[in-house]
Amino acid sequence: MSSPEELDLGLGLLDHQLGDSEGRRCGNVDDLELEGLSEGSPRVAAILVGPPVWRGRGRLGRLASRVARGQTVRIPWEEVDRIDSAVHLKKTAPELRLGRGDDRARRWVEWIPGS
Amino acid sequence: MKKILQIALGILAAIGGFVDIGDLVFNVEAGAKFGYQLLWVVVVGVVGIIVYSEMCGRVAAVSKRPVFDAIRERLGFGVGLGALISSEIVNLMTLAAEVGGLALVLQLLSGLPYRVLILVGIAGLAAVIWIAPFDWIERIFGYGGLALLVFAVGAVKLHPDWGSVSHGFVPHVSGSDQLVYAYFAVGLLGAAMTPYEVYFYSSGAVEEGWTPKDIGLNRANAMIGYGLGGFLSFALMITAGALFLPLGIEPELIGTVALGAQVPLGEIGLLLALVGILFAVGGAAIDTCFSGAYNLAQFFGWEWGKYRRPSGAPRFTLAWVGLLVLALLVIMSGIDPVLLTEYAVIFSVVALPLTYVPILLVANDRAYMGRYVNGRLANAFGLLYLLVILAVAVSAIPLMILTNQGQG
Amino acid sequence: MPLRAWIWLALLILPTAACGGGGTLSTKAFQKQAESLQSFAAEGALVAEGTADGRATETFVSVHTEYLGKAATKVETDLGSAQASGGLEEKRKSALRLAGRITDQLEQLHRAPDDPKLAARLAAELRGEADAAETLAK
Repeated sequence: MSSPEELDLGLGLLDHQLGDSEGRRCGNVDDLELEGLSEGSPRVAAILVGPPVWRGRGRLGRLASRVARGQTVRIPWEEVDRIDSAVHLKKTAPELRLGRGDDRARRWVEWIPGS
Repeated sequence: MKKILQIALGILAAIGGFVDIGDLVFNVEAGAKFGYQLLWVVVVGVVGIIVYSEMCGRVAAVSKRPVFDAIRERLGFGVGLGALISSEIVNLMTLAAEVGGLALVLQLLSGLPYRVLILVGIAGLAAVIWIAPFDWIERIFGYGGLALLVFAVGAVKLHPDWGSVSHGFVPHVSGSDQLVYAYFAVGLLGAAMTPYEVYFYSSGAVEEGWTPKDIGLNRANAMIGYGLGGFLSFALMITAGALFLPLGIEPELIGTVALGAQVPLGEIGLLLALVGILFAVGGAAIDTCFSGAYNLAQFFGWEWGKYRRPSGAPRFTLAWVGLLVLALLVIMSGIDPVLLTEYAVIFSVVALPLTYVPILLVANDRAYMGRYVNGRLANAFGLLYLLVILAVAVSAIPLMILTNQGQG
Repeated sequence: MPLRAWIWLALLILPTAACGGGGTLSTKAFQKQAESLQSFAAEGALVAEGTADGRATETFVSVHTEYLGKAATKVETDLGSAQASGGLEEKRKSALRLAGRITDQLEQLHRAPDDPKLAARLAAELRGEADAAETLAK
């Protein structure tokens, strides 16, 4: 994984688009799981994605997490391939259990001719 | 040679696509009330949309990120969601107004009942979006909108006092009815600097895979396209100033706008005007609808894009279909499309800072933009327009209330 | 009272202050009504001229005059139900009669968008009504 030594987590990682190994868009970085804080060497353990995670993102976030359906998906940091303006992952979305919202929604759309 | 043809066609489509129902309503009402005095405000608005689009296009080309990605990244989830909600509300109001306008024009052309034509209009829009390839849609509606050039011909034929017209391009404050003048200035700026057009433009840039080397070309395309599109707004205002103001006509109907071309140019003028309005408003409806879906998808990280098949981006597809359905409900409630347009334009002005500021920030971020970061000229204009946008956003609703929507 | 409460109060009061109450007619409100009547009559005259010269489609004339007529009828209704005093009452009655004539003329045009002779006559009449409305508005 190639990432700059100093990555501003707020600006460079949080809320960025996630892309899988095939370039499919599969969510945003909704929150980060940090570890090593007490030891003084903090690092990102995992990326967290999903409506329940929004509860920690302000009042509107709490409201949104109640309205939206979906579960939290935890992506270990080792799954990150590279970071540019988006966060690119090593595996495909189904392998990481991402993008299931689109999978669920597809049933509603694919029966229409021309889709 | 082929490249030049491509550019020319792109510019033509941009010109025809410049006018939407907000421009029709505000330019004609402003002309009927204040004659040519507010022409300079249209210029300010056109330059503003060029500045805003240029930054968004550059950000999209360099970072491959469209506007709402940048908004969420810069403002965070909470504030970003607030920006999303307000943008979606404004998008919905605008879409409903465009659909209503579309139905009114169809009624003036066909004589069929208004409510039936709302359904026809929505079904037609949905069918076009579903079936036609996207660049075709932009071209058809763009070229169709060029029929509005009839207003330029008509304006000349009405023999306006060109001295007064040129005075209108010099910034000045009106002698009387200053609050109403300010209200129309705000409305004209809002009608020119439509956010949905910017979201749409930047999403299109990402979809078409613009790279930094596309920046120059597309910058020119936007400047010339929007710049010349502004001429259509001038034509509308000058027509209203030359024809409606002397007679004391207060335009409140779409048919009145068309009358502005009928009087100087007869039946052919009337038909071209109606067809032009049809394509301009229809095209704007599609842009608005998509931009609403783009914003949702980009904020929540869904797959999106008009070039993906609908089943490739299911939530995105459901989003634009859902917006059309909601717009249908809103406009079927019987609300007057012209009135709804006025509200939509004013509210979009209030929400404008929330989407402008993140783009200005991102365009200035060297880590994001590399050597394409805002230079001095871009920042001079960018900051100037930030002030304009803030001033206008703060004063929009008080002016609307105090002047009773420009009635005085 | 906290600042937020003042702001809410202001937001509630301002719109009602701007609209004005119904019922009693103020000079300013009457002026607006008269100007609206002038607008409908002048616009109706333009449409009628278009029909008279054969320079407008029948569909357009029929649909547009219907909308104009509806708007004029609304003003007529408002004038009819308003109360005025003194000199303003006389003006209100004149405007009410004027509104009645305008809605009638627009209706005639709506019903016969294919009659150039009728349209020419209506155009002249509507121009006269527009002038009358302009005088009343002053």
